[in-house]
Amino acid sequence: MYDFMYHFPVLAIMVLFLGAFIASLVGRRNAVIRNAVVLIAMVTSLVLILSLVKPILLEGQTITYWLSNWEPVGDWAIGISLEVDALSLFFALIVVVAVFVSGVYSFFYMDRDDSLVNYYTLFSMLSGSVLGLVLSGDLFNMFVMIEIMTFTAVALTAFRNTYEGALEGAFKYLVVGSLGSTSVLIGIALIYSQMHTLNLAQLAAMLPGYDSPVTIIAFAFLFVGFGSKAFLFPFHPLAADAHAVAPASISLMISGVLTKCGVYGIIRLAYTVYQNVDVNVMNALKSVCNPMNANFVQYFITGVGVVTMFICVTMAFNQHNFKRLLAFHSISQVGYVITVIGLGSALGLSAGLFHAMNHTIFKGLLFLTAGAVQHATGSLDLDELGGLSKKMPGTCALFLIGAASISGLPPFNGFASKWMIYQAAFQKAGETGNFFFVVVCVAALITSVLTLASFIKVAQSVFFGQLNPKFAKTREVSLGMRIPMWILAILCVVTGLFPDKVQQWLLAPATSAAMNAAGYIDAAMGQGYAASFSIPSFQPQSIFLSGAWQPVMWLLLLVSVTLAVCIVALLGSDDKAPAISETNTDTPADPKYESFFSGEASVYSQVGGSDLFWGFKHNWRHYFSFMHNWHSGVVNDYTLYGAAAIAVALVLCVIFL
Amino acid sequence: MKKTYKKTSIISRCASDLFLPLACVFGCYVVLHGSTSPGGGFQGGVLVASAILLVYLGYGGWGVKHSFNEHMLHSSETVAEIMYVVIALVGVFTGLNFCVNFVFAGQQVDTSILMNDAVGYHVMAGITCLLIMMLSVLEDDRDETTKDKEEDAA
Repeated sequence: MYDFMYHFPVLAIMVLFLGAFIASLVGRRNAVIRNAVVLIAMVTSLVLILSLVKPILLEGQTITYWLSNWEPVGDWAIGISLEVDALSLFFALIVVVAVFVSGVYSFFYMDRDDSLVNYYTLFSMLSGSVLGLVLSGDLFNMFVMIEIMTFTAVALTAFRNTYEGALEGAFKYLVVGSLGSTSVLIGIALIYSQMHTLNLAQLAAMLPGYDSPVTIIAFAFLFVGFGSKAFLFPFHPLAADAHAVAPASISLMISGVLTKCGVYGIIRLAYTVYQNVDVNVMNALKSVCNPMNANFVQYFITGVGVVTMFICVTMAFNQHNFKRLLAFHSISQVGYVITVIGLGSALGLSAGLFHAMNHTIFKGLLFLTAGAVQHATGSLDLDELGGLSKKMPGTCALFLIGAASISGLPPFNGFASKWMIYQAAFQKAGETGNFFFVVVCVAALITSVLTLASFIKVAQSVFFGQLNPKFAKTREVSLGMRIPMWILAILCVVTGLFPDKVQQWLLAPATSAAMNAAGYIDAAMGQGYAASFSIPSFQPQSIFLSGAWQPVMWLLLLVSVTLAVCIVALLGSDDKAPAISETNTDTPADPKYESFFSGEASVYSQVGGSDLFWGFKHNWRHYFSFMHNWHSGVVNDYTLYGAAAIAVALVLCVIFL
Repeated sequence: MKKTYKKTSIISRCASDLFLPLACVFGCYVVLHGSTSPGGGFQGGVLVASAILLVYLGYGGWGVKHSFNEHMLHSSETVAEIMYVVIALVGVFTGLNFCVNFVFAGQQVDTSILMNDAVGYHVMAGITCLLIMMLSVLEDDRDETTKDKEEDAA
């Protein structure tokens, strides 16, 4: 690695902030200069992060960068540091790619809005803060970046403040998001009062051997705080309210990037700093006799993940707004990631990282198609839309790729990562012999099936079925909006077709970096520092996949089936989705609809996608009515749920840790 | 000068005239000594920005509107942000780390004084903008009699 490459992480962060400030200064009058500044900032940061892939991910180095050269003196790291290991860089890659796609998309998507200078300033600051969060080597800087991230995201959620509910959704996000940030701050204050340092590497050396109830309480606060940023279980109603009103490019950022920050925080906290997820197989076997005590953190994280993924996928069934539905699925997929992170095995962690990456790709794609539908028709109402596949064939194809990915259909990337998730849960169940992990595996499978069902509903409601006459003049969106979507769609297919390469180049380095706490400490504090605190050195675990499948064969199967369907469809007639005119008087009288024979034909009747699964909804009506009361939409209630989450986490951690 | 605004009492105008320079000078003092004494960019900037309240007390909303250019303040805020980042980045381009002390290396004064100034400038402009925004939603202080005349003319 060249010497100047040590500056790349800090430059990648600062170029985004600088882009925000310059865009705000010069962009008030000239839109072209403003877009150029934002584009240059995004591309520069993308290139800087991509150029770090070779030294960090492939060669396994770690960059430790002390701002102002304030290096540790006498083994006390007081200065601010950036520490970039493979795990940080993995998340940084997700961030910069998502920012680039979202930024390019918004150049065309936001063309009908005004005061765009505010939008781009906030957008660049949001990107910079998220990048700063994942590259930071300092707990307090993580908090600062979380605050910038939350407030810019709130402002961007309310950017289209003419939408009904935009200010309301942003207000809820602001209040409950601040509750999460405050929880992080309390955790940091407690840690600082005990440890007198906030450097992650030094904390990682000192905390595991430090037996104090204060740091355990701090863990509970930090976990709930980062969990609220990932919109885990009691915080999920916020995400739905915010996503439904935010511009689609911001929905991509919130679901694809902000939730990943919460995931990154939890991984860093549990694996590197506290090291209280039991990564050692021998200990896991030993703890069979006393499972609750030794492996509490694993059960806790996995339990939260399972509850999140299951509740959110059932909530998605009842949605009538395209983006609200996607929001609940987004949280459900983050639940998958959290579930396998809690397993504590190398396979589980790499499956979680893979799914986190895939979630950004396919959920971003789905949000962008929702944005395209909204841009073309002006509506997101699932009951109103329909039959758009004839009008917007490109968007429809992209949506189908995204839907197939999120539902876990081979050969797309969703299947590759979900396959690893099932195996991780299954192997954990086999190793520990604990029934809990069997339930986890089954819940993951059921959630995937429900996801598929739910996306059939969306496809039926938006792209197939009858065309609403209101949208007869809909046109396909511009090429500038389709290119970012195609980038994501190609990524969906590529990562799905070559999961072993992804595993080798991205996941394996990131997984071993997350589990290698000793390496993380030594990179920042000097060789032998970890050993002086008796942090065990890293023993790589082999990742063993018990099942095998051939992605390319699945692609061939998919292509041949699609071709067959296309041929059959072409042989048939071409009136699958006729626009039904409002007044049917011109058509000759159809005996089927004789007024006094069989009743009058209705003017326009859409076979609602929401009616597809009426039996399921009927059977679950008690559960749904309970959830209906629970999602009251009152910000006081949501704050109360957040406070209750903190309380429950505190009680559980104090009892079991 | 067209006296179309409601005059405040002479005591508040005199007090405003007297304390306005003091507030500004004291704020600037706190900003400039921020690196070596208590206070700093943020506190000093807020002190300078509080001068706008003195203008408001002495001359009312009319005075505030005529003596401050909100657009200019907004641009200054951005310029200060860019200044801060550029000062920090100079460290990188001199071959050292981000935020590093590159002037007067090894002495008591360092780049933190320049950064303090940038922060002071930023906070001054930003808080002034905020205060103008808050003051502008207060009630209109135009003279009631002239308002009636205008309405009559209309």
